[in-house]
Amino acid sequence: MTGRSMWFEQAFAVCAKDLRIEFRERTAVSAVVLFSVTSLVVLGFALAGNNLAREVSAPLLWVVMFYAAFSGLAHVFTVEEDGGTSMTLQLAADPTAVYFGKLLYNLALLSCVALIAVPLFLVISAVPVPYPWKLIAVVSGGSFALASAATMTGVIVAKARGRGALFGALGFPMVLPLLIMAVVATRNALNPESMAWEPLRDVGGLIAYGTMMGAASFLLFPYVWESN
Amino acid sequence: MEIDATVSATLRKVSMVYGRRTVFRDICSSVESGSVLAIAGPNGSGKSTLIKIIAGLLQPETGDVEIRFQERLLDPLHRRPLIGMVAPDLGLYGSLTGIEHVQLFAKLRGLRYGIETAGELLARVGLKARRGDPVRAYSSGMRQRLRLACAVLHAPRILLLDEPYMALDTSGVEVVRSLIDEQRRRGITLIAGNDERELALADERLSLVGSSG
Repeated sequence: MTGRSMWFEQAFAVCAKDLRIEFRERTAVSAVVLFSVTSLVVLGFALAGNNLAREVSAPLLWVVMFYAAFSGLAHVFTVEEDGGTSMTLQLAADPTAVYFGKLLYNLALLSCVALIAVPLFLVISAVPVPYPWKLIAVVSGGSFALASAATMTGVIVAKARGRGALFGALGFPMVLPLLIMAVVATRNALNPESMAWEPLRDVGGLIAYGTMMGAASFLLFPYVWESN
Repeated sequence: MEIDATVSATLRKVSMVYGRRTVFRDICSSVESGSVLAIAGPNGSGKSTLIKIIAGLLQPETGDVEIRFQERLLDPLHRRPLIGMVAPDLGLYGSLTGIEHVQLFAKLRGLRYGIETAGELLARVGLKARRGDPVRAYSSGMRQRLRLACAVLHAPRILLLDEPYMALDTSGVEVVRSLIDEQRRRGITLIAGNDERELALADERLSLVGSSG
Protein backbone atom coordinates (compact mmCIF):
# COMPACT_ATOMS: atom_id res chain seq x y z
CA MET A 1 0.00 0.00 0.00
CA THR A 2 1.47 3.41 -0.97
CA GLY A 3 1.84 6.22 1.55
CA ARG A 4 -0.99 8.24 0.06
CA SER A 5 -3.49 5.38 -0.17
CA MET A 6 -2.61 4.34 3.38
CA TRP A 7 -3.24 7.92 4.53
CA PHE A 8 -6.73 7.86 2.99
CA GLU A 9 -7.35 4.37 4.43
CA GLN A 10 -6.47 5.71 7.88
CA ALA A 11 -8.68 8.80 7.50
CA PHE A 12 -11.68 6.77 6.30
CA ALA A 13 -11.09 4.18 9.04
CA VAL A 14 -11.19 6.92 11.73
CA CYS A 15 -14.37 8.39 10.20
CA ALA A 16 -16.04 4.96 9.86
CA LYS A 17 -15.11 4.10 13.45
CA ASP A 18 -16.67 7.33 14.76
CA LEU A 19 -19.81 6.85 12.68
CA ARG A 20 -20.17 3.27 13.92
CA ILE A 21 -19.74 4.34 17.56
CA GLU A 22 -22.20 7.22 17.05
CA PHE A 23 -24.71 4.89 15.41
CA ARG A 24 -24.56 2.64 18.49
CA GLU A 25 -24.36 5.27 21.24
CA ARG A 26 -26.08 8.28 19.61
CA THR A 27 -24.39 10.72 22.02
CA ALA A 28 -23.71 13.56 19.58
CA VAL A 29 -26.84 13.03 17.48
CA SER A 30 -29.03 13.15 20.59
CA ALA A 31 -27.46 16.42 21.76
CA VAL A 32 -27.65 18.00 18.33
CA VAL A 33 -31.19 16.90 17.49
CA LEU A 34 -32.49 17.74 20.96
CA PHE A 35 -31.07 21.27 20.75
CA SER A 36 -32.30 21.96 17.21
CA VAL A 37 -35.78 20.57 17.72
CA THR A 38 -36.43 22.16 21.14
CA SER A 39 -35.14 25.59 20.09
CA LEU A 40 -37.21 25.52 16.91
CA VAL A 41 -40.33 24.38 18.73
CA VAL A 42 -39.90 27.26 21.23
CA LEU A 43 -39.50 29.61 18.27
CA GLY A 44 -42.70 28.19 16.79
CA PHE A 45 -44.63 28.93 20.00
CA ALA A 46 -43.14 32.43 20.21
CA LEU A 47 -44.21 33.24 16.67
CA ALA A 48 -47.73 31.99 17.35
CA GLY A 49 -48.56 31.62 13.67
CA ASN A 50 -46.95 34.92 12.53
CA ASN A 51 -44.37 35.01 9.75
CA LEU A 52 -40.77 35.81 10.59
CA ALA A 53 -39.06 38.71 8.78
CA ARG A 54 -36.22 37.71 6.46
CA GLU A 55 -33.78 39.95 8.37
CA VAL A 56 -34.51 38.07 11.61
CA SER A 57 -34.84 34.57 10.18
CA ALA A 58 -31.30 34.41 8.76
CA PRO A 59 -29.49 35.05 12.10
CA LEU A 60 -31.94 32.78 13.95
CA LEU A 61 -31.21 29.92 11.56
CA TRP A 62 -27.47 30.26 12.13
CA VAL A 63 -27.83 30.59 15.90
CA VAL A 64 -29.58 27.22 15.84
CA MET A 65 -26.99 25.71 13.50
CA PHE A 66 -24.07 27.08 15.55
CA TYR A 67 -25.25 25.81 18.92
CA ALA A 68 -26.44 22.51 17.49
CA ALA A 69 -23.06 22.01 15.83
CA PHE A 70 -20.96 22.96 18.83
CA SER A 71 -23.07 20.90 21.25
CA GLY A 72 -22.27 17.76 19.29
CA LEU A 73 -19.35 18.16 16.94
CA ALA A 74 -16.75 19.49 19.28
CA HIS A 75 -16.82 16.38 21.45
CA VAL A 76 -15.16 14.14 18.89
CA PHE A 77 -11.80 14.64 20.56
CA THR A 78 -13.02 14.98 24.15
CA VAL A 79 -14.42 11.45 23.85
CA GLU A 80 -10.98 10.16 22.76
CA GLU A 81 -9.21 11.98 25.62
CA ASP A 82 -11.70 10.84 28.27
CA GLY A 83 -11.61 7.23 27.09
CA GLY A 84 -7.80 7.15 26.88
CA THR A 85 -8.03 6.22 23.19
CA SER A 86 -6.24 9.31 21.87
CA MET A 87 -2.89 7.73 22.75
CA THR A 88 -3.96 4.47 21.09
CA LEU A 89 -4.81 6.43 17.94
CA GLN A 90 -1.58 8.44 18.12
CA LEU A 91 0.43 5.23 18.06
CA ALA A 92 -1.39 3.76 15.08
CA ALA A 93 -2.34 6.60 12.75
CA ASP A 94 -0.86 9.62 11.03
CA PRO A 95 -2.01 12.79 12.88
CA THR A 96 -3.23 14.52 9.72
CA ALA A 97 -5.22 11.40 8.74
CA VAL A 98 -6.88 11.51 12.18
CA TYR A 99 -7.77 15.18 11.61
CA PHE A 100 -9.20 14.47 8.16
CA GLY A 101 -11.19 11.49 9.47
CA LYS A 102 -12.67 13.59 12.28
CA LEU A 103 -13.46 16.41 9.84
CA LEU A 104 -15.31 13.96 7.57
CA TYR A 105 -17.25 12.65 10.55
CA ASN A 106 -18.19 16.19 11.64
CA LEU A 107 -19.27 17.02 8.09
CA ALA A 108 -21.50 13.93 8.01
CA LEU A 109 -23.02 14.84 11.37
CA LEU A 110 -23.57 18.48 10.42
CA SER A 111 -25.22 17.42 7.16
CA CYS A 112 -27.71 15.43 9.25
CA VAL A 113 -28.29 18.50 11.47
CA ALA A 114 -28.89 20.66 8.40
CA LEU A 115 -31.26 18.10 6.90
CA ILE A 116 -33.36 18.14 10.09
CA ALA A 117 -33.01 21.74 11.29
CA VAL A 118 -33.33 23.73 8.06
CA PRO A 119 -36.64 22.25 6.76
CA LEU A 120 -38.06 22.40 10.30
CA PHE A 121 -36.96 26.03 10.62
CA LEU A 122 -38.55 26.94 7.29
CA VAL A 123 -41.85 25.28 8.24
CA ILE A 124 -41.98 26.92 11.69
CA SER A 125 -40.84 30.39 10.64
CA ALA A 126 -42.94 30.31 7.42
CA VAL A 127 -40.23 32.25 5.59
CA PRO A 128 -40.75 32.11 1.83
CA VAL A 129 -37.83 30.61 -0.10
CA PRO A 130 -37.88 32.06 -3.61
CA TYR A 131 -34.77 30.18 -4.81
CA PRO A 132 -34.28 26.93 -2.84
CA TRP A 133 -30.97 26.09 -4.57
CA LYS A 134 -29.44 29.33 -3.25
CA LEU A 135 -30.35 28.39 0.30
CA ILE A 136 -29.02 24.85 -0.21
CA ALA A 137 -25.72 26.31 -1.48
CA VAL A 138 -25.40 28.68 1.49
CA VAL A 139 -26.27 26.00 4.07
CA SER A 140 -23.80 23.55 2.45
CA GLY A 141 -20.98 26.13 2.38
CA GLY A 142 -21.77 27.26 5.93
CA SER A 143 -21.89 23.68 7.21
CA PHE A 144 -18.50 22.94 5.68
CA ALA A 145 -17.01 26.06 7.30
CA LEU A 146 -18.67 25.30 10.66
CA ALA A 147 -17.40 21.70 10.63
CA SER A 148 -13.84 22.92 9.92
CA ALA A 149 -13.98 25.38 12.81
CA ALA A 150 -15.60 22.91 15.23
CA THR A 151 -13.03 20.18 14.49
CA MET A 152 -10.03 22.37 15.26
CA THR A 153 -11.66 23.94 18.32
CA GLY A 154 -12.54 20.44 19.52
CA VAL A 155 -8.95 19.21 19.61
CA ILE A 156 -7.62 22.36 21.32
CA VAL A 157 -10.28 22.14 24.00
CA ALA A 158 -9.80 18.39 24.51
CA LYS A 159 -6.04 18.75 24.92
CA ALA A 160 -6.35 21.81 27.17
CA ARG A 161 -8.85 19.95 29.34
CA GLY A 162 -10.73 23.24 29.73
CA ARG A 163 -13.89 21.73 28.28
CA GLY A 164 -17.06 23.83 28.52
CA ALA A 165 -15.75 27.28 29.42
CA LEU A 166 -12.79 27.16 27.07
CA PHE A 167 -14.97 25.92 24.27
CA GLY A 168 -17.08 29.05 24.22
CA ALA A 169 -14.08 31.32 24.72
CA LEU A 170 -12.18 29.74 21.81
CA GLY A 171 -15.05 28.82 19.55
CA PHE A 172 -16.94 32.10 19.47
CA PRO A 173 -14.15 34.38 18.13
CA MET A 174 -13.16 31.69 15.65
CA VAL A 175 -16.62 31.34 14.14
CA LEU A 176 -17.77 34.98 14.43
CA PRO A 177 -16.59 35.94 10.89
CA LEU A 178 -18.19 32.76 9.56
CA LEU A 179 -21.50 33.50 11.29
CA ILE A 180 -21.58 37.05 9.90
CA MET A 181 -20.88 35.76 6.38
CA ALA A 182 -23.45 32.97 6.71
CA VAL A 183 -26.16 35.35 7.99
CA VAL A 184 -25.57 37.84 5.14
CA ALA A 185 -25.49 35.04 2.55
CA THR A 186 -28.71 33.49 3.91
CA ARG A 187 -30.46 36.88 3.88
CA ASN A 188 -29.41 37.35 0.26
CA ALA A 189 -30.47 33.82 -0.64
CA LEU A 190 -33.93 34.46 0.82
CA ASN A 191 -34.27 37.80 -0.97
CA PRO A 192 -36.73 37.51 -3.90
CA GLU A 193 -34.73 40.13 -5.83
CA SER A 194 -32.06 38.16 -7.63
CA MET A 195 -29.71 41.22 -7.73
CA ALA A 196 -28.97 40.77 -4.02
CA TRP A 197 -27.36 37.40 -4.65
CA GLU A 198 -23.67 37.13 -5.53
CA PRO A 199 -22.54 33.48 -5.56
CA LEU A 200 -18.83 34.27 -5.39
CA ARG A 201 -19.26 36.48 -2.34
CA ASP A 202 -22.07 34.60 -0.59
CA VAL A 203 -21.10 30.95 -1.07
CA GLY A 204 -17.48 31.47 -2.13
CA GLY A 205 -16.73 33.36 1.08
CA LEU A 206 -18.05 30.51 3.22
CA ILE A 207 -16.12 27.89 1.25
CA ALA A 208 -12.97 30.04 1.43
CA TYR A 209 -13.35 30.36 5.22
CA GLY A 210 -13.84 26.60 5.56
CA THR A 211 -10.86 25.86 3.33
CA MET A 212 -8.60 28.33 5.14
CA MET A 213 -9.66 26.98 8.53
CA GLY A 214 -9.17 23.41 7.25
CA ALA A 215 -5.73 24.20 5.83
CA ALA A 216 -4.57 25.97 9.00
CA SER A 217 -5.94 23.12 11.12
CA PHE A 218 -4.26 20.57 8.90
CA LEU A 219 -0.88 22.24 9.50
CA LEU A 220 -1.39 22.92 13.21
CA PHE A 221 -3.22 19.75 14.19
CA PRO A 222 -0.15 17.48 14.59
CA TYR A 223 1.36 19.87 17.15
CA VAL A 224 -1.83 20.04 19.23
CA TRP A 225 -2.58 16.31 18.87
CA GLU A 226 0.90 15.28 19.93
CA SER A 227 1.01 17.52 23.01
CA ASN A 228 0.63 15.04 25.87
CA MET B 1 17.63 -19.30 16.47
CA GLU B 2 17.91 -16.79 13.62
CA ILE B 3 18.01 -13.23 14.90
CA ASP B 4 17.09 -10.27 12.73
CA ALA B 5 19.68 -7.72 13.85
CA THR B 6 18.17 -4.73 12.10
CA VAL B 7 16.58 -2.76 14.92
CA SER B 8 18.09 -1.17 18.00
CA ALA B 9 17.07 1.30 20.70
CA THR B 10 19.57 3.45 22.57
CA LEU B 11 18.75 5.77 25.47
CA ARG B 12 21.25 8.60 25.89
CA LYS B 13 21.17 10.55 29.16
CA VAL B 14 17.38 10.66 29.14
CA SER B 15 15.85 12.80 31.90
CA MET B 16 12.24 13.68 32.62
CA VAL B 17 10.83 16.41 34.83
CA TYR B 18 7.18 17.00 35.74
CA GLY B 19 6.82 20.48 37.16
CA ARG B 20 9.51 20.70 39.86
CA ARG B 21 9.84 16.95 40.29
CA THR B 22 12.62 15.08 38.53
CA VAL B 23 11.19 11.69 37.63
CA PHE B 24 14.50 10.23 36.43
CA ARG B 25 17.82 11.63 35.34
CA ASP B 26 20.49 10.64 32.80
CA ILE B 27 19.14 7.20 31.93
CA CYS B 28 21.46 5.36 29.56
CA SER B 29 20.81 1.94 28.10
CA SER B 30 20.60 0.10 24.81
CA VAL B 31 18.86 -2.95 23.45
CA GLU B 32 19.45 -4.86 20.22
CA SER B 33 17.32 -7.23 18.14
CA GLY B 34 16.56 -10.50 19.88
CA SER B 35 16.90 -8.99 23.36
CA VAL B 36 14.41 -8.27 26.08
CA LEU B 37 15.07 -5.35 28.44
CA ALA B 38 13.17 -4.99 31.70
CA ILE B 39 12.56 -1.57 33.23
CA ALA B 40 12.06 -2.01 36.97
CA GLY B 41 11.46 0.40 39.80
CA PRO B 42 9.01 1.41 42.51
CA ASN B 43 5.70 3.16 41.83
CA GLY B 44 6.26 6.66 40.53
CA SER B 45 9.80 5.97 39.39
CA GLY B 46 8.86 6.74 35.77
CA LYS B 47 8.68 3.30 34.13
CA SER B 48 5.54 4.12 32.14
CA THR B 49 6.91 7.57 31.31
CA LEU B 50 10.09 6.03 29.93
CA ILE B 51 8.05 3.58 27.82
CA LYS B 52 6.06 6.52 26.40
CA ILE B 53 9.28 8.42 25.65
CA ILE B 54 10.63 5.40 23.75
CA ALA B 55 7.33 5.16 21.84
CA GLY B 56 7.69 8.83 20.88
CA LEU B 57 4.53 9.81 22.74
CA LEU B 58 6.41 12.06 25.19
CA GLN B 59 9.44 14.27 24.74
CA PRO B 60 12.20 13.85 27.33
CA GLU B 61 13.37 16.95 29.18
CA THR B 62 16.95 16.24 28.15
CA GLY B 63 18.73 13.45 26.31
CA ASP B 64 17.37 11.42 23.43
CA VAL B 65 16.14 8.02 22.35
CA GLU B 66 17.76 6.74 19.21
CA ILE B 67 15.87 4.09 17.27
CA ARG B 68 17.68 2.61 14.28
CA PHE B 69 16.04 0.34 11.75
CA GLN B 70 18.24 -1.13 9.04
CA GLU B 71 20.92 1.38 10.02
CA ARG B 72 18.51 4.28 9.49
CA LEU B 73 17.81 6.69 12.36
CA LEU B 74 14.06 7.18 12.86
CA ASP B 75 12.33 10.26 14.30
CA PRO B 76 9.44 9.75 16.78
CA LEU B 77 6.71 9.84 14.09
CA HIS B 78 8.47 7.42 11.75
CA ARG B 79 9.27 4.92 14.47
CA ARG B 80 5.60 4.38 15.37
CA PRO B 81 4.82 1.95 12.53
CA LEU B 82 7.52 -0.29 14.02
CA ILE B 83 6.08 -0.15 17.52
CA GLY B 84 3.47 -2.28 19.22
CA MET B 85 2.53 -1.14 22.71
CA VAL B 86 0.51 -2.42 25.64
CA ALA B 87 -0.11 -0.11 28.59
CA PRO B 88 -2.82 0.22 31.23
CA ASP B 89 -3.75 3.71 30.02
CA LEU B 90 -4.16 2.74 26.37
CA GLY B 91 -7.93 2.96 25.99
CA LEU B 92 -10.29 0.82 23.94
CA TYR B 93 -13.66 1.70 22.41
CA GLY B 94 -16.44 0.36 24.64
CA SER B 95 -19.06 -0.03 21.93
CA LEU B 96 -16.80 -1.76 19.40
CA THR B 97 -16.31 -5.52 19.51
CA GLY B 98 -12.99 -7.36 19.77
CA ILE B 99 -13.09 -8.22 16.05
CA GLU B 100 -13.83 -4.59 15.16
CA HIS B 101 -10.85 -3.42 17.22
CA VAL B 102 -8.49 -5.79 15.44
CA GLN B 103 -9.87 -4.79 12.03
CA LEU B 104 -9.71 -1.08 12.87
CA PHE B 105 -6.11 -1.15 14.08
CA ALA B 106 -5.08 -3.40 11.19
CA LYS B 107 -6.54 -0.87 8.76
CA LEU B 108 -4.78 2.01 10.54
CA ARG B 109 -1.54 0.04 10.16
CA GLY B 110 -2.19 -0.42 6.44
CA LEU B 111 -3.21 -4.09 6.68
CA ARG B 112 -6.38 -5.85 5.62
CA TYR B 113 -7.72 -8.26 8.23
CA GLY B 114 -10.81 -10.20 7.26
CA ILE B 115 -13.11 -11.67 9.91
CA GLU B 116 -11.22 -14.96 9.72
CA THR B 117 -7.72 -13.49 10.17
CA ALA B 118 -8.91 -11.21 12.96
CA GLY B 119 -10.66 -14.19 14.58
CA GLU B 120 -7.46 -16.26 14.45
CA LEU B 121 -5.51 -13.51 16.20
CA LEU B 122 -8.19 -13.19 18.87
CA ALA B 123 -8.22 -16.97 19.32
CA ARG B 124 -4.48 -16.80 19.93
CA VAL B 125 -4.95 -14.38 22.84
CA GLY B 126 -7.87 -16.40 24.19
CA LEU B 127 -10.77 -14.21 23.08
CA LYS B 128 -12.31 -16.50 20.46
CA ALA B 129 -15.58 -17.05 22.31
CA ARG B 130 -16.11 -13.35 23.10
CA ARG B 131 -14.79 -11.84 19.89
CA GLY B 132 -18.21 -10.50 18.85
CA ASP B 133 -19.01 -8.90 22.22
CA PRO B 134 -18.66 -5.16 22.77
CA VAL B 135 -15.54 -4.30 24.77
CA ARG B 136 -17.59 -2.67 27.53
CA ALA B 137 -18.74 -6.21 28.40
CA TYR B 138 -15.13 -7.44 28.74
CA SER B 139 -13.40 -8.01 32.05
CA SER B 140 -10.11 -6.17 32.72
CA GLY B 141 -8.15 -9.32 31.85
CA MET B 142 -9.99 -9.67 28.54
CA ARG B 143 -9.26 -6.03 27.71
CA GLN B 144 -5.60 -6.68 28.39
CA ARG B 145 -5.71 -9.65 25.99
CA LEU B 146 -7.28 -7.42 23.34
CA ARG B 147 -4.55 -4.81 23.88
CA LEU B 148 -1.99 -7.56 23.31
CA ALA B 149 -3.71 -8.62 20.07
CA CYS B 150 -3.83 -5.02 18.78
CA ALA B 151 -0.17 -4.51 19.73
CA VAL B 152 1.17 -7.45 17.71
CA LEU B 153 -1.17 -7.53 14.71
CA HIS B 154 1.35 -5.68 12.50
CA ALA B 155 4.33 -7.82 13.63
CA PRO B 156 6.13 -4.86 15.25
CA ARG B 157 9.91 -4.67 15.42
CA ILE B 158 9.70 -3.03 18.84
CA LEU B 159 7.27 -4.38 21.44
CA LEU B 160 6.72 -2.13 24.47
CA LEU B 161 4.93 -3.83 27.35
CA ASP B 162 3.94 -1.77 30.37
CA GLU B 163 2.74 -4.15 33.10
CA PRO B 164 1.86 -6.89 30.58
CA TYR B 165 0.60 -9.33 33.25
CA MET B 166 -1.87 -6.82 34.65
CA ALA B 167 -5.21 -8.54 35.35
CA LEU B 168 -4.22 -11.68 33.43
CA ASP B 169 -4.90 -15.24 34.60
CA THR B 170 -2.48 -18.16 34.11
CA SER B 171 -3.43 -18.72 30.47
CA GLY B 172 -3.09 -14.98 29.80
CA VAL B 173 0.41 -15.03 31.29
CA GLU B 174 1.26 -17.88 28.89
CA VAL B 175 0.02 -15.75 25.97
CA VAL B 176 2.40 -12.94 26.97
CA ARG B 177 5.29 -15.40 27.25
CA SER B 178 4.63 -16.83 23.79
CA LEU B 179 4.37 -13.35 22.27
CA ILE B 180 7.71 -12.37 23.82
CA ASP B 181 9.32 -15.57 22.50
CA GLU B 182 8.03 -14.73 19.04
CA GLN B 183 9.24 -11.13 19.38
CA ARG B 184 12.79 -12.33 20.09
CA ARG B 185 12.90 -13.58 16.50
CA ARG B 186 11.52 -10.31 15.15
CA GLY B 187 13.07 -7.46 17.09
CA ILE B 188 13.30 -6.03 20.58
CA THR B 189 11.06 -6.11 23.64
CA LEU B 190 10.94 -3.73 26.58
CA ILE B 191 8.97 -4.69 29.66
CA ALA B 192 8.11 -2.20 32.40
CA GLY B 193 6.75 -3.53 35.66
CA ASN B 194 7.15 -4.62 39.23
CA ASP B 195 5.99 -8.20 38.96
CA GLU B 196 9.06 -10.45 39.28
CA ARG B 197 7.48 -12.93 36.85
CA GLU B 198 7.41 -10.19 34.18
CA LEU B 199 10.94 -9.03 34.89
CA ALA B 200 12.27 -12.60 34.81
CA LEU B 201 11.43 -12.79 31.09
CA ALA B 202 14.13 -10.21 30.33
CA ASP B 203 17.82 -10.67 29.51
CA GLU B 204 18.84 -7.35 31.05
CA ARG B 205 17.39 -5.06 33.65
CA LEU B 206 17.33 -1.28 33.92
CA SER B 207 16.43 -0.14 37.43
CA LEU B 208 14.87 3.24 38.06
CA VAL B 209 15.36 4.47 41.59
CA GLY B 210 12.46 6.88 41.92
CA SER B 211 12.01 10.58 42.58
CA SER B 212 15.01 12.62 43.52
CA GLY B 213 12.94 15.64 44.43
